[in-house]
Amino acid sequence: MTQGDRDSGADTAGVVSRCLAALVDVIVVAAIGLAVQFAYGGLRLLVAGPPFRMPDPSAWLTGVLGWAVAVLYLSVSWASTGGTLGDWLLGLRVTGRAGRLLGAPRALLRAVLCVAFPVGLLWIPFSRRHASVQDVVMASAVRYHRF
Amino acid sequence: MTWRSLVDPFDVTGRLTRYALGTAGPVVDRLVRAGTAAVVDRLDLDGLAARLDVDRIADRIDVMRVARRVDIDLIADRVDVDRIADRVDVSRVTARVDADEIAARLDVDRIAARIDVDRIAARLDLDAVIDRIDLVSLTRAVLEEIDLGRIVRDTSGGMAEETVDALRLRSMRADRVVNRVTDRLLHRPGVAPAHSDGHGQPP
Repeated sequence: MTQGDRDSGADTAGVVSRCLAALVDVIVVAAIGLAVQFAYGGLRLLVAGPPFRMPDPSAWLTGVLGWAVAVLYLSVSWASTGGTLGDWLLGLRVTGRAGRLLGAPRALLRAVLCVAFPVGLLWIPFSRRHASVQDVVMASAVRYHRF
Repeated sequence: MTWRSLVDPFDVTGRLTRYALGTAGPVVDRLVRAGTAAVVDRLDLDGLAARLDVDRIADRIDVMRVARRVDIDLIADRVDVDRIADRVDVSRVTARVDADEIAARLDVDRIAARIDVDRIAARLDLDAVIDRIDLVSLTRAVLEEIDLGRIVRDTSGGMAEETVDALRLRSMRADRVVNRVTDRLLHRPGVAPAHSDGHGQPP
């Protein structure tokens, strides 16, 4: 693939694939949050004894923790393998425009932008190189890839 | 003997007759022997044999009558079968047997058709056969041989991979449809896909 192909978005993923991947990632983050709550309840059962009770944090704490889990999950996945579980399932890979994996700071910043402004995905059909708002800001790209 | 008997003509005739008969026997015997020998010497036996019609003689022999008078049981009793068997060279007989020719002439289908399989099966004691088989060991050996676990793993893995591939292909087609519609709405020239199979190479 030439640089021209990359710039034209010939193999960059479309909005449907990326929305489906995001949906899978939401489910994964929810599962991770549930697992964390179960772990916390189990730990409390071991320390304080029965009964087993799930934690009941306040709404803002739940929101902050969920946001943190999501950002951590996305940034670690993108920086380490180039894809989250949703990306793997849909055959996508997140890289820089040149095709290299994102660095940790860049991946973290992109994750923050994705969690804070998920509707940025809707810009993909209108972008000539099929880039979301986060891709435009972070100079990243999501391409089809067989893991 | 009295004087009267010596002169009696009947007695004299009788005595003379007995004496003549007593001496005539040996003389006749000698004459017959000498005559027979002379006849035999003069006979041409080869010529006589050549003039014999043996076929005609054979035709006149009633063989069935002869056979009826033969006592087969008596002959069989006098035959020493063991001695005959000892003189038979079995190896030589076996060497002269053409087993291939015999096998070729056998109608195996006809023989098989005459076999009553149901009758054979009815006489089988399957319980006894099963009792002699160690089914547990046999089953374990079969499972180890076919490696059922590996088959299940391969099958489930293959199905999961096919499902994921199908999902990726469908989502990619949906991407293209959306891109095509957007390009048309924005009056933008379309971008040809780089890979028709939907999956690009890793960068």
